Amino acid sequence: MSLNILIVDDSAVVRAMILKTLKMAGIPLGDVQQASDGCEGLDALENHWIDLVFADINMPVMNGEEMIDRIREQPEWEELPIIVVSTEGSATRIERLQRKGASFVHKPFTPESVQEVIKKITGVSHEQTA
Amino acid sequence: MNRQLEEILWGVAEETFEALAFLLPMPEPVEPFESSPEVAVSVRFHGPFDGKVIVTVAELVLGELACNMLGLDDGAEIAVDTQQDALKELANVVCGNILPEIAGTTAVFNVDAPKLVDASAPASEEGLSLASETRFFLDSGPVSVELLTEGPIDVEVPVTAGAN
Ligand SMILES: [Mg+2]
Repeated sequence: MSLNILIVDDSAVVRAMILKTLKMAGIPLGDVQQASDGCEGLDALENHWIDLVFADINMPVMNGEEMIDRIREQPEWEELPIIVVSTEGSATRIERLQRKGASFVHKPFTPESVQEVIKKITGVSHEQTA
Repeated sequence: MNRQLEEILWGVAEETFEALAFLLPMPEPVEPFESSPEVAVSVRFHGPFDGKVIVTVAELVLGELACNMLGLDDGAEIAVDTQQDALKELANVVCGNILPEIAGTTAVFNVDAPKLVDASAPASEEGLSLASETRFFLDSGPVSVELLTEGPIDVEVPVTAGAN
């Protein structure tokens, strides 16, 4: 099974780094969509079938937390896997995001740390070579 | 200057350069490097204490940094904007990891978007003063990480086992 993913971050460099890391981790990728703020992220979700969302917190126009709230308001996206990628160090803030059903990957991340979280929430691990 | 703060800055910088860009910071230059103008990014933060983190690198370091962060081949042409964005992200990660090391995970900080600043202008302003700094070298040139705060700060996090 390959994953259709959406990467939402205001930095194009960070989006490229997440994509590079997913490839290094051997995650089977389908369609890859990118958005630079929460609004664009919601648009992409409306228009594409997405299996997994990577979200930044600090973004202009609409931040990551508000985007997650909007996503969870939609019954069809209630269970959509979301991974927040951030340097956030406050335990309170991380727990608040987790209560909204988001997983958390701390920056700087490695292919291994990303792989582990993806496996946990989607059951998909790196590409089988059989 | 506070030794504990300096160790935090060095530890976070070392981990971040290695994890983000596969670059190994060295206390001394390993080989002579070509000197080049400097580029600096500042990240302002607000919380239990206010301040900013400034990461300054030589221009030649910037190219190497961006290339490795993006996973491109050596010598790939990278737009100046993209190179600067790579440094912004690096500074963002350095700042985000320094703060909980100093104030613990119960502290809540708001971190502004990283900004390009004039590397040749004096760093202190707006009532901020230098709390600590670390300087080191990559193959392509020197790097400095400075922490400026409003007044003096203390490290709240207990020293981890193994240190004395
Ligand atoms: Mg951001």
